[in-house]
Amino acid sequence: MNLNELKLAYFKRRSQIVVFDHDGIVLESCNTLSSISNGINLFEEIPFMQGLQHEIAKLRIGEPVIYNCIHTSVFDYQSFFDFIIRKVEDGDDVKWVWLIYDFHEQYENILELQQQRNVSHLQKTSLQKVNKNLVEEIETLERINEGLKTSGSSNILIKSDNQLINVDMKDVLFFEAFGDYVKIHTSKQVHVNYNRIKNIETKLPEDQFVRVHRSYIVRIDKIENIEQSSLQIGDKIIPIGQSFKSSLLDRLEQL
Amino acid sequence: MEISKKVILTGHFGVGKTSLVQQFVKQKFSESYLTTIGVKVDKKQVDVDGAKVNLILWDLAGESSAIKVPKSYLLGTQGIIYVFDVSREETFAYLDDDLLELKKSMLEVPHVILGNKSDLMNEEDLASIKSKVPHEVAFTSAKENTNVEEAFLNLTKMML
Repeated sequence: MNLNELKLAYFKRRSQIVVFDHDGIVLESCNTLSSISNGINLFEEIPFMQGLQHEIAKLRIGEPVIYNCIHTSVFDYQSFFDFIIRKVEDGDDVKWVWLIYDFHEQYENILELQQQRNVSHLQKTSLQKVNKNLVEEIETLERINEGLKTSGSSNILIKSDNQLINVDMKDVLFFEAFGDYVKIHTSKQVHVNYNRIKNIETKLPEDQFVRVHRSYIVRIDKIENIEQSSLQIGDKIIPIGQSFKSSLLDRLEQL
Repeated sequence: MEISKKVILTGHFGVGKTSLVQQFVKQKFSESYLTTIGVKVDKKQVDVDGAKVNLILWDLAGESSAIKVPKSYLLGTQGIIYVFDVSREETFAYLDDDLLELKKSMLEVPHVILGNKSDLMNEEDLASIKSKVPHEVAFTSAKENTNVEEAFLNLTKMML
């Protein structure tokens, strides 16, 4: 390798070498990354070095101390660095060598991956907390509703838009699954409740409601007419699922 | 007279260490979360009892536990700030073990423990957390700049 190739390789490594004495005074610097003048006191001028004077003095000859992934500035040059500090003998003298490696690009990639990992973990934790709160709320509501049912009341409490709403089951036309939510259509309005339609089904009085589709439960006495694959409640046409058709007809026959 | 003191901030990721430093050093707060990798070094000069103290703040990347901190990062540390998130129990569940591990490397180094994001909890919740943590805890909010400067100054006084 000739000298020019060596220089090029050196520049590609984006590194700098700084030699300083016991007091942190710069003796030499190749200034490839940042301009560091001879005579500057590193222990006073470079935040990274401040507070390290005692530890650096204690280093044994040839034994390096390595700092990976330091996000800081060396004067006006800010980046992600690896630093190696080594104590060396120079004749009768002792000096310290500070090797600075700029790994901005490499660490930026790691940063991106780490960001994704941490954000994903934080979101998961946050969702788990929301779910736990919702489950607790649902359990409380179920206990209240069980009490209402035992007392012969036809009302249930549901949570919709952060409000507790007292719904008279006689007013309900049908339930419609909507992702993780259930829309409760009454003669007056529509409530949206965080729940599963399967869960709702188990709570309803069997003589009043029937499942007609994987997404629909209807109030039997609100059905206006039934066709081959659908039924009508008010102006809403509700599909009848193939697998629910026979149980619907059985229930209607019992009436 | 000016003196320099190296302080490390440690604790789980996402607890707000970087936000505390940003608030203390630059009086800024950002809602968006930006991960720290390795260590971010910042500096702020404070006046305490007539002494000018350069606080060299080593904001360490949060890991699942403080025991993963590289040994070289700890060299020359004169103060420790352990930060947890009051809204995430996992971040203070192992506080005792983490502190013990840190103290193995730095026996006599003074420390403060900060329960950050206090703006997310009410007084009752904070009192409950205080009873769960068997150490002196100061509650801070980097977002609302509550108790931030006091916490750093308190540690500075302990280091002098």
